[in-house]
Amino acid sequence: MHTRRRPAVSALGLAALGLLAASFWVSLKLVPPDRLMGNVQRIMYVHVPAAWVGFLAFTICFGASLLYLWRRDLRWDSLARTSAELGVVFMGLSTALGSIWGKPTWGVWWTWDPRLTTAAILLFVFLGYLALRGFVDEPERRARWSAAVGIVGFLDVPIVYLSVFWWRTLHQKPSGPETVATPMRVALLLGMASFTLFFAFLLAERYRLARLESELELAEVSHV
Amino acid sequence: MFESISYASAAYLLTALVLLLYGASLLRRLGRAERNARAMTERSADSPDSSGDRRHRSTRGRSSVPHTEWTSEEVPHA
Repeated sequence: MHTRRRPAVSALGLAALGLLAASFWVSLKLVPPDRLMGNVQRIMYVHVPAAWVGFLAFTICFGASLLYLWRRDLRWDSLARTSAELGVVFMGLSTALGSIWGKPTWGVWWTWDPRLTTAAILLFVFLGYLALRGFVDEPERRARWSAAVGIVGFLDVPIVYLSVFWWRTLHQKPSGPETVATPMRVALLLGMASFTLFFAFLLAERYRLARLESELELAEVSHV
Repeated sequence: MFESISYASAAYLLTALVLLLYGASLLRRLGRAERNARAMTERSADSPDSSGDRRHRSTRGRSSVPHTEWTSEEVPHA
């Protein structure tokens, strides 16, 4: 059984925590406030990385679901389940951070803007994915149904990203290097790197937990 | 300006709380699963099944009922 944490994963966790702390310090202390929005713009350095990691997690879930349907190996199902759970955590965080940013900027906590609405749909589809897994006991059937939801749910990811180009939205379009000052770009890249590293650590540990749970479940069944 | 600092502080506090609480909860669940796995391994090692009788071990994990009981044709009608 997968009972031991590998030293590389422990080192990854410590490095991720250190980089997160450094990223917070740079974002809150070193980078100057935005000329128009003031300090509230600092939310960008956590909101964008959280959304990026959410997208990354749902993409991994999509790939693992396809591989499960192809190979019928439950390890791919464990990876899909792991990344879906992390995707919900990070997408939920990104949505909450966007709401905190929206209140002083737009005057409302929430509005039915295309970007916000498609992101909320994505979040609820994957909450449904996790709920579905709780309803089905038989591992193979659970994996098959979840893979179908994981694949269909992923189709919303490009829609969320492209929504700001397709429709007139309150949410701004993605910023590029030509529209962001260098210190702000560095802080944003640091945020992206630290969130990605922390996500990698959580993914490794959550996957190990999923495999342990799966093996314990099989062992319980075989002892009945 | 004070208000915008409050919003930014709330956002960073929320981020730190979510990441740390999720990480801590994950490590706690992992610790519990590891203990269960160890207990399961020890139970298997202590059980008579593991005494080296190959014939007996080969039937481990299977029910004593015949396999045909799982086929739909064999399910008795109420």
